[in-house]
Amino acid sequence: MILLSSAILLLALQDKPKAPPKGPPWTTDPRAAKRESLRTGKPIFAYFTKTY
Amino acid sequence: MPVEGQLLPSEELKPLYEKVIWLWVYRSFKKDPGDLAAERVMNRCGASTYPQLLFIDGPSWTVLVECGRSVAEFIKSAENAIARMKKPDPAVERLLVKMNRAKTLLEGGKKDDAAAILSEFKKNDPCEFFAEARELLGLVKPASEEDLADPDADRRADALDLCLAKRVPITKGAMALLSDPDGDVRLRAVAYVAAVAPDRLDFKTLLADPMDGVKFAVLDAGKSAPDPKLAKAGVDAWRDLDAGKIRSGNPNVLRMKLAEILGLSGGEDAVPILEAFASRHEFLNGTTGACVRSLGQLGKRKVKGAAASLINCFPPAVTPEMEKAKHATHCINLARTVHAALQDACGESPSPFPPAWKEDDRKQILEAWTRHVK
Repeated sequence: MILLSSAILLLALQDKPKAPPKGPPWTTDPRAAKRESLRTGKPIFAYFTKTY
Repeated sequence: MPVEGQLLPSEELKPLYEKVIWLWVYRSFKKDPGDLAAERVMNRCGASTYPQLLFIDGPSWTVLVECGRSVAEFIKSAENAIARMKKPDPAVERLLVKMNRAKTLLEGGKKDDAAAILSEFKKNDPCEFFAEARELLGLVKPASEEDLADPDADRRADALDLCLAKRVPITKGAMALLSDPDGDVRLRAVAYVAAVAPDRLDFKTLLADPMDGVKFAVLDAGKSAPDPKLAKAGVDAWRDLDAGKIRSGNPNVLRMKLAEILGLSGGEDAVPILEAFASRHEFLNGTTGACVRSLGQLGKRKVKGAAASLINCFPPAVTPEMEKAKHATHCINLARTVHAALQDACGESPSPFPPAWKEDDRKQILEAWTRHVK
């Protein structure tokens, strides 16, 4: 039973979508970022990461 | 410095929160819409490794600065990127106001009024308002071959994927997408043309593409069968890379892929290029082994000078310094690779590879191979 619960918990953790690091005002929408860059003249800082 | 946990939550970056736009691009590899959007951004920026930190010019997705991993490097990179940006485009603000008005009308159930506004967005706007308007109006249909000429890059990319899946014969329109301004479209165009009509790829132009992904895709596609035209373009690309005429964010990977192509399809002109790199004896660099193996392949095809060149590629004997740095195994492995490549080239070996790689072992093997090759 304990093993089964652990396995379910592990699977749930693996499926949980990863979130950006805390702190900066992140966007995940490339189109919105591009518009904001053109509107404001600010560069985009892109942080590329993946599931490990 | 680790990116997450140390660099990105650093308090010292707070003054930059409002000076740059923070885009988090996460690949889940689930092939869902979010993952596809992330893949497209990566293709457009030419990003190919993780984690990667880049400052980008939003309108064009051009990389302005590759960012260092320390707080000081990050701040310096950000300041450099900010200084390189062009002035804002006032038209975007107007278009944004218009789009928000249309969305408010849609939310309030006033579909006709919203549609009247949304239909005013022009095809050539720089910020995809036209594409978003079409989505809001429910006019987006499944991708078709006609979308190869769509103003929206995502639609052109979808159309190319569809043409590839259905093996649609190449059209003039599809060929034109090999030089599309959008990097993701170019990459998918290469995949499509390489699969359906590889003889129509202009290797010289594609190997000079500013995006590594395009160069890598051309070389990966070329591994399926020997192609002397690709090898000729590969020799030129290697020389141009050395001369700084071709830019690459990952020149080592590019050389490794070029080496593989030269081994498969190269001629006499590939030998000095591969030898020059391999005889640097960089046993910690995978490209060295790739060059050695390719020289072995050339030797097997009896390309002049290939077998003899391999003798210069044996690394020096193992030294106490190498052992101390735990590099001895890498050095011996490279020596073994050179020995195997010579065996490939000559079809036989004058002597087995020695159990150790000390000065005497090296001397004996070199003498044996030199006599044999001559």
